[in-house]
Amino acid sequence: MDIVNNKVDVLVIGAGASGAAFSWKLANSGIKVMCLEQGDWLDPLTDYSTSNSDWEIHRQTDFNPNPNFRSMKVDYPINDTESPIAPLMYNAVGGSTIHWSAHFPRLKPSDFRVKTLDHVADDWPISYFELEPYFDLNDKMMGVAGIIGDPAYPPKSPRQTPPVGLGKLGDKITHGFDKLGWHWWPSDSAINTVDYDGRPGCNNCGPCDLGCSIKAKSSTDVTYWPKAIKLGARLVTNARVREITVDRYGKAKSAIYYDSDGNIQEQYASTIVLAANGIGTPRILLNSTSTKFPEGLANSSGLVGKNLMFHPYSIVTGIFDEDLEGHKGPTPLNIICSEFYETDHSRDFVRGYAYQVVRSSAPLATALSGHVPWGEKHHEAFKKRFNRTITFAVIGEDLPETHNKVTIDPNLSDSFGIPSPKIEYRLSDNSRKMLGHGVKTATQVMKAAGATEVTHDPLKREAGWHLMGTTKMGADPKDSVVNKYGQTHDVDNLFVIDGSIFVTAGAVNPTSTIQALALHVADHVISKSK
Amino acid sequence: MRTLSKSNSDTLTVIVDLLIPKKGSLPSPSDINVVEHIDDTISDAPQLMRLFVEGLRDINDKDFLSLQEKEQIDLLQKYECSNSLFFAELIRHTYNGYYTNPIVVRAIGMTGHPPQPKGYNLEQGNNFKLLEKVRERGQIWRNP
Repeated sequence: MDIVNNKVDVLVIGAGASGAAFSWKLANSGIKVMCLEQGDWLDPLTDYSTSNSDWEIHRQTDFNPNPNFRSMKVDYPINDTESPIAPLMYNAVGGSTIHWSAHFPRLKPSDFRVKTLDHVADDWPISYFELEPYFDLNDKMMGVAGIIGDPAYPPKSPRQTPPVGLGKLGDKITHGFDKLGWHWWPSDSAINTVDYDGRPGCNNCGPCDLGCSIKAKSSTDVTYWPKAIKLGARLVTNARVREITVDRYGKAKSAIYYDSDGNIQEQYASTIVLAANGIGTPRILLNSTSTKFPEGLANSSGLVGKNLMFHPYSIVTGIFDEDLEGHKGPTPLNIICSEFYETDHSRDFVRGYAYQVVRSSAPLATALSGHVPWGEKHHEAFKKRFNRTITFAVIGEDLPETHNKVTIDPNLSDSFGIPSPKIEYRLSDNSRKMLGHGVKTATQVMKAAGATEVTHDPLKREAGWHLMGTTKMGADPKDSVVNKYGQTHDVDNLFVIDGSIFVTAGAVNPTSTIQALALHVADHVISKSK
Repeated sequence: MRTLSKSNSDTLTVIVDLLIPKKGSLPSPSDINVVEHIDDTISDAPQLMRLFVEGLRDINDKDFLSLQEKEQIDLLQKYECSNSLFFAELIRHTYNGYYTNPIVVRAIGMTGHPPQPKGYNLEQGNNFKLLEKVRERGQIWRNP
């Protein structure tokens, strides 16, 4: 060991959505909390490309959401050859909230009770209504744009800022929903539409996925972290955790990590909290083997890494005759359709799906869409699509299956030699039928809105944004990894707070629920420390 | 040119202009230095450099520059099938150089400036009023 550090009260691993919320809550209670983050700080003014003419090219390089393509020093490779969906993530202070689209819907009450309601998977050991105060607190901290009154949810507290504008494109597609009499609503969005909490309103520049240089988008490097650090939280960047060690009683003792110079450091802590996402967290646990835990830490159930859930996506694109000014406004239009969210027994699948509406692609993305040939017909094909498309991302609920899993690849490691994860994933028959239904109904909306042509991709590969289920939450230690407080059944001073603890996936983006759970776990850790 | 030889550069100039022909106010790629963009890009990426140098050499070996335009297009179409990896990268980097050039971006109807710091004015839209009808249809969330 090159450097051994003094013990801290609580050590968090990962500075993304959940790690930031958790660290702030603890620091706010006077607890000494330290966070290790494998990435670095990004400076919104100098590190984001959206002020440069070549901004779109950065989607292929340093802002490619796929770490295997990005291949930056802070990333670890992932063997995804046995998965039709590629896992996506970003490694930096703020984690994947740096490149997210800031969709911020909550899971719905039924998502926590799928066994009771639909006889599939398991119920969560916690309900929507138990989490509600944490959803509300998190909304205030992140800043949420939206409108209350959505009949697809129980009543919510007022949103912090008005909804993202519809523009011509939004007007066009909402006419389609209205014509069919189907549900649509401006989805909660973690984007300031007007000044809020010291950050400005969005100037509708478009590409949220390339980082927000004006800090209108609520990534946790600009929301939770500045506040947490002011309260005394310590954040160590470029710290890549290799493993968690245990003492002779089987309690978590320390995290061993590589610093930016390649030194091996050991950080002792009374409590260790994993917030490294649904792939990074099981990777660390499975790499943390010892005599007491030969199959990986906290893995007596054998479920660490299993039940991996993505949200499978179908993409449906409508082409319209007129210019919809589709490049103006946040790329995610943040309209959500929940018409097909809940189980309907007349269909041939259980649970359901939502659509998210996405604005038109920018010039380069339009040209590279696969629909614009080279040669004589190039300009005609480009003109037909540019600013004239509306896209639905049909997001389906992925039920947990133990054969969908994260394991350690015996032949792959990161630049420090830490073994890398391997993903094995198969799309279930239920998900396939669900997405097929989604493509049909989404096509109906496009046509009702006036689309002249509709195309679709039945399963988008580069769509593994949501990483869930790999350290399942539950009451039974034989059938779950953590309890309702994120505390591992096997090691009582070890917690997990990221999407790994999801029991089921719902059919909406998970970040709002991940952060609410992190705040809920934080309250438990605070109460235990008193 | 940092990497491409004169003959490879000449060949690439003809190829990119066949991939995206000049039309009206839309320039040809060679008008706006797309070949220089590609040369810069591959100069910093050894694997890509090898792919381009070998691919272009192969095309040059077919006496590409002395062919009629239709024959050049036919040859590129054959190449698209037989050397799909090189061709996909050729398309990607040609489009990259072309569609990030401010002259092109203005010609397709945008302001020509990057998204930040100016952003855009977005109309709020007229259809939030339609939400009243959605509300009137009543609760659709399932209370467990």
